[in-house]
Amino acid sequence: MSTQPSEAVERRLYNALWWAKVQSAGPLAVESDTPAVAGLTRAAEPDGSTVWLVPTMPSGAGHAVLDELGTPPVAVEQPNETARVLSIVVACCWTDRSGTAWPGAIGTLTQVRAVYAGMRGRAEQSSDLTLIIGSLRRLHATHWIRWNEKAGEVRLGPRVINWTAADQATLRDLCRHLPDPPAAVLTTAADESEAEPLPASDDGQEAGDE
Amino acid sequence: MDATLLDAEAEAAVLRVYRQVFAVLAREAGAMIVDPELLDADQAILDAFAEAGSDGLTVEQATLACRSYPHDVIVRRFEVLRQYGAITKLVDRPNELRHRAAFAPYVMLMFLRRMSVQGGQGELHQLLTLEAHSVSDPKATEDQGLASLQRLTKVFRLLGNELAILVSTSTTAQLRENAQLAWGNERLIEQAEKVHRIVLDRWPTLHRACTSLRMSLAAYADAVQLAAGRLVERAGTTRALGLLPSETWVTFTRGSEPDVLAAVLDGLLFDAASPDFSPQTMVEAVETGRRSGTARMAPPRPTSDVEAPESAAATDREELRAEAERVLAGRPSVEIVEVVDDAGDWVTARRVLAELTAAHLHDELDYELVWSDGMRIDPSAGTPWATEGVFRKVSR
Repeated sequence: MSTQPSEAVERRLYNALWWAKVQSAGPLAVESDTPAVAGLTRAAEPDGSTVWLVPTMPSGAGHAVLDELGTPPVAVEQPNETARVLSIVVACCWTDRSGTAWPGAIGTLTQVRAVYAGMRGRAEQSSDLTLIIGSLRRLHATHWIRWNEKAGEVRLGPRVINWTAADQATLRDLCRHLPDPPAAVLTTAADESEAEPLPASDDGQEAGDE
Repeated sequence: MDATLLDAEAEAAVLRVYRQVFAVLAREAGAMIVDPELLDADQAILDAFAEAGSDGLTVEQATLACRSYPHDVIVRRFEVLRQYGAITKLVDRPNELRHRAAFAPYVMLMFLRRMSVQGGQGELHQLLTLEAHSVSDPKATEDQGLASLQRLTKVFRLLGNELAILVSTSTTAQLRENAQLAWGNERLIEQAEKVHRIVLDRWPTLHRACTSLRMSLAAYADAVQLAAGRLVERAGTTRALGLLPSETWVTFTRGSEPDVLAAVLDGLLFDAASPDFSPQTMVEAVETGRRSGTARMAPPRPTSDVEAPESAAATDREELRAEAERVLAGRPSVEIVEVVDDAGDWVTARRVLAELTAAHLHDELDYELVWSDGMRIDPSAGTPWATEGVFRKVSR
């Protein structure tokens, strides 16, 4: 009898600790043997080394509530440009559209630039690259995508695991409207499996520091 | 006196119940209660009688005892209480000045105050417990069980009816004021069902009365559901927070200790503040991005503008020209009668004539249709009656 409540209390304290961490830093990359935490969805990295803990709101409790309360959402620089680049990254990295978006494939900056020019319906301009890189960095900082600047490679971030089936249907439609990306030419196809974990773990630390 | 909105609301609730109960009596006595203070005056008068002991009180003594209230208010309420029998003369004879108070009105007043605080739910719970207790008593008879069932059926019918009427006729504000009718409904229904079960097990012959109790319970549950639906619908944008007046929230946030405030958020998960990109915003962004792209791509060009809208009119004109040339067949002019006879029946001739007329009226085509006075009548032809005329090419 006495162990029952203390276990429940421990459980709540454990949850509360992780919730506090998530509240300050957003999705967290943790060791894959970390026990599950209530309310946080686990998004495993493709190589299985780490697991992202992503806060998952019940439907109707997310950012939509801000709209209803008439509160301005969290500000982001150039919101439309950033949203466009996120759409393009989805089009490039979500190769298997029949499955879920997470974890997706690796896309390249070349692909993103090509799709961007295609969406704009004109030849690429020098200012485009500035906009794209800026948007990619913003999206990386908020865990929407993982952007490896050195290799020029991009993946979808852990936040996409919260997309519902309806969201994914909308995005599938969006991808159909965007021009198809050219085939990805990864910088080092052979090293890819080894190169992948390094930037990912670096990114996790960076995100934690922010 | 620091009157807050909450106090006012509590007073309004007391008043509402009091009015419902005493409306009939008060109408007869010519004194409706229109102010919560009057209720306090009543209580003060009855308190004074309790203090006075067995000698009773005269009107003057009563007003003296209640001097915190205006004199005429006390006199008026005293009259009213006397008229409906809460206060009677000590001895029933003329010129008797001393009065005594009955205990029942005071109990009633206490009861009302309690009911107004809890909306009568507490009393209903107690009633249900008592009923369950009495029907499970081994000495209880079938008649008592039947009476129990009938009482409960009436209570729940009244409750359900009131709520259903409110849902269908009143404004949301009124409905919200009366929301206590819907409070704790699950528990109430559960208790009533318990009584129902006991009765049905003990006296299966009462199944008819049991059915009507079940029906009234179901009607109440439906009414609660409807009311909740309407309230939640109107609460809409602010969720269930709208069910409580905003004053309550403000008071809570101002008057709570940090621990209490923190406890509200205990067990709530928050994401780090981060920009949100819902699929809808992404779709919109891509759409607008594409539009601005094409706008920049295609500045207005006069040459393409002329060519584009021509197509429909041009094909129209060329069709007319081809038809006119077919009719003329190389000749400079042709008789209409000939054209009509060539066409065979009138249906075809009519169509050909319509085309020739259109060619005549078209300002870019150089054809002319000229009618003359003569008329050809030939019963053997496909179109026996034909007006004479000429279709010809003109040079402008």
